[in-house]
Amino acid sequence: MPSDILLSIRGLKTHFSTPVGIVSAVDGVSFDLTRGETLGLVGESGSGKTVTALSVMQLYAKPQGRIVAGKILFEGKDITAMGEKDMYNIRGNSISMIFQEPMTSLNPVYTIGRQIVEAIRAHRAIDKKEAWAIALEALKQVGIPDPERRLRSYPHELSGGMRQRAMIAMAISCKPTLLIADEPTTALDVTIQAQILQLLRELKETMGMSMLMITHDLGVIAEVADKVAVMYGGRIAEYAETASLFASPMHPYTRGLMDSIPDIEKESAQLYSIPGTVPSLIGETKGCRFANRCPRALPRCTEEAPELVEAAPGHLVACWNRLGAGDEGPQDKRSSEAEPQSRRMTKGEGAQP
Amino acid sequence: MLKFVLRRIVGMIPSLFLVSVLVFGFVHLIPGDPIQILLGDLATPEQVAAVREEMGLDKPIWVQYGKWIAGVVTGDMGNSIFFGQSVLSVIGNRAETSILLALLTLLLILFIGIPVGYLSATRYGTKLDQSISGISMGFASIPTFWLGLTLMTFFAVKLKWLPSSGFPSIFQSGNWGNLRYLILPAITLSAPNSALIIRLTRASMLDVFKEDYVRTARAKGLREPVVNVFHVFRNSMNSLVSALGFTFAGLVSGTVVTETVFSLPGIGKLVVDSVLRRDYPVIQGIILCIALLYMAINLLVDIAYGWLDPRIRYS
Amino acid sequence: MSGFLKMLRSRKIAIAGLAFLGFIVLMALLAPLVAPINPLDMDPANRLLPPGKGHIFGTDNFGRDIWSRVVYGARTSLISSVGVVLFSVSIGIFVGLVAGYFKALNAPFMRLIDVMMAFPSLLLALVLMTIFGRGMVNVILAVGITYLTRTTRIVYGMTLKLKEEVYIEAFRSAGASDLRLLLKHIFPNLTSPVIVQATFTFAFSLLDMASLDFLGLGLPPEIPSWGNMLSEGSIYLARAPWMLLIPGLFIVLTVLSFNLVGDVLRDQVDPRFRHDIKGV
Repeated sequence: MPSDILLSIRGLKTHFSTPVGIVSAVDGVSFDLTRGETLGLVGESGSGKTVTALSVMQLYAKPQGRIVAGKILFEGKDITAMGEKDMYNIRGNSISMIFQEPMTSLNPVYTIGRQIVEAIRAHRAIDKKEAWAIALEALKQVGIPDPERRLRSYPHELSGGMRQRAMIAMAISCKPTLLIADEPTTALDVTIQAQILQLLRELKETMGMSMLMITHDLGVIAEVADKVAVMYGGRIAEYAETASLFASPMHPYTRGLMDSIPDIEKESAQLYSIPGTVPSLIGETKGCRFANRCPRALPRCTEEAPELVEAAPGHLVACWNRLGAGDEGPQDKRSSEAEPQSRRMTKGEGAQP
Repeated sequence: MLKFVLRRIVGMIPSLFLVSVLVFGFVHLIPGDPIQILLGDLATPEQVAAVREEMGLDKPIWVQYGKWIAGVVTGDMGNSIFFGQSVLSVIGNRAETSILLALLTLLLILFIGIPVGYLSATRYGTKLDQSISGISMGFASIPTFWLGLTLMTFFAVKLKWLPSSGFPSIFQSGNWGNLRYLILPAITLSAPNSALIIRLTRASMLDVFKEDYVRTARAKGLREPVVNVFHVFRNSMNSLVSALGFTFAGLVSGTVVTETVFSLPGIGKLVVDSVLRRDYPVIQGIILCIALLYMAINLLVDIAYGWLDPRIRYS
Repeated sequence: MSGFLKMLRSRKIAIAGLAFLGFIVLMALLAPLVAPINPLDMDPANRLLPPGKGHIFGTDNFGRDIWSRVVYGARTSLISSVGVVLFSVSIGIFVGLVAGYFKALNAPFMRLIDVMMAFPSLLLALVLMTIFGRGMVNVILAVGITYLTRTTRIVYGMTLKLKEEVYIEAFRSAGASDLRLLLKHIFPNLTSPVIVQATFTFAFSLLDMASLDFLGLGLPPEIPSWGNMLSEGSIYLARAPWMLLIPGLFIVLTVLSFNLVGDVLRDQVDPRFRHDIKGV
């Protein structure tokens, strides 16, 4: 295990037992996160990206949820083999997490200061005064104006952007080596989104953290990520350097995601969306989970699940019929063949990430 | 804060008015002539007419109401037909038993209901949780008087561990040992109400468990008991406190039955006796007092609510 | 409905509850067949007999057969509870719908409910019974009124929320009349929560009516009801505990069964109580 790999996930399977059957939310996910880098985990809702993150934190819904296979190596140690006691020392200390909804992710009955101090004192044997000073420092670091007063504020007295900054302050107060950000900007206004992303990028640099950025938004990925893992149906579809992925996506799903980004320059009449909906992950599935929506599906795709293989140096893809250079994408096909095909396959609305 | 309380009290005035009208009107809904009932069957028409005039019952109804409400405000709710004393002193004489019983019961409810409900919620889905749910539902399904009588048969009549009925005043005798008379009644009364609190604590905590900030608390690395107490239970207290009025109503209904079963000289037994004796002024006085108490409790609940939740405090 | 069946299967105890209710209902319907002895027949020579041959549940202080009285008592108790449910549900739906739908009625309605809640249910029923006098219809009315408040409040709250739903707005702007909106679009959405509430009303009104009987303010003593049986049994609890035990057990089991079934129904209706998995 080379020491520059901070987080290494190998064959992770997190399943949930529900009244309607076993849901394989994460079904064989593998990727590496290098120290000091940002890995983007991208996919539609229901693709398993959040469950992957919650598996790293050991915070998925219990007892319905269970890691049934795989390893999560953090700084060389397997998190899945750890007990709750060891996890207490990791959560909020060496791995921190921030969430999508800053409105509901802070406890409404305590002040911001009380909540940050609580996080610090869970990991450092210091008194309240010292912890308060650290909390103040953290608020300054995330650029909250008038931090002394804000420490005494309740969450409802802060705007959405400020709350997310407070969440970030809480997350970095113990100087974690890994920050997991689960859709940190989705619930925010566009202008504030950019500010928060800028802040996260700066903090990552100054504190030397690694970051796992979970998002459905390829725009966010382009903004912050060094590498990208595209998830679909609980599996990794493609894994590459960000530049390489944008330059030559190999998985039809990735291509679909890119085509559904509105392009201001090309004024097209209608927004492209991938036909069909995210598959149900209940019970056993055979073959590639994207096959029923895939414009390039082969008979083999519904029979046998493709492995994640290195198609180009550092560029991994799980597809039997991957896109090569010069392949035409679904955007060009739309007028001709993809239309009837999509109508045939579409049950619900098209996914529009 | 003071402004908030004052505003709430002012807001209660229409409700108070409605309550007083209902309580006043109740006597007038009873079939038959209240004077005849008051004086008995042997009274002559002259006597009836004299008393009618004396009590102002010949006046228009709103004048009667005005007179009655003026009396109520100054603490005069008329005289008991049966005892001949003022209603307030009749109720006052019975208050000791009911208040002590209520306090004892409340203590039991809180010390059983909340911890057991907490345990059930934090062990959600386990065998323990299922058994607690089952047992508490069982207790909620038992008629209060049946439980009381069964406990009495077993612990008082068969085993003779505790007295079966009555309650000599502690206030007069100074003997706190008399509290043992209230043990079986308090257990009887607390059983269905504890069951309610257990279910309530469990349900409101389970609701809070799904909140995002609980996940945040876990992600901070807080230990499970810390998360449960300071983030889950603390936030579920709002719904617990708001159920206080409801609990009070349940306690009153239970007290009526329990005091009758154990022949306790309390307000609950007084209601039943007064209903059987057709002592209307006393019934009127008691329902008015209970309704006022209920409204006062709801006011306290509102204040506590603002104190528990900063979002309400400052708005 | 299929969801309800599935839920039932996962909670076997609720099936037992449903089975017991079926048994009680059958018993009440077939009363003359299952209890051949007249429940009113007195037999002073055989008073206070313990359960045994001839009288499987024994006899009471007048020598009446307790099994027969339990069977006929089931009739009385079930009929009164059905009465309470029908009364409180039908009027509750009407008042709640109207009060929730028309904005001008919202504030006065809430005020009235506030005030009604200030009178604890059994106390209110007691007071109403002094006005009405003893009798089956009167008991149903008195207890029905106390449960009316709860049902109405639920219907009112639901109507208030439904009224703001987008699809209701859409129908309104399409020119649907108030009556049509109320009957065709709001009312059908109320049925599940009202059924749940009705189940609990059934259970708790049974308890309340037994309490009234016990206090001597419910049904006239000559009518065999579980509450009246307990009331008489309480006098003989040392000499003939079965007089207390047997009708009491029937009340507990019936109420418990209703609560068990009601719980499953509520879990089915109220998504808050359903399995909920974050992040899937």
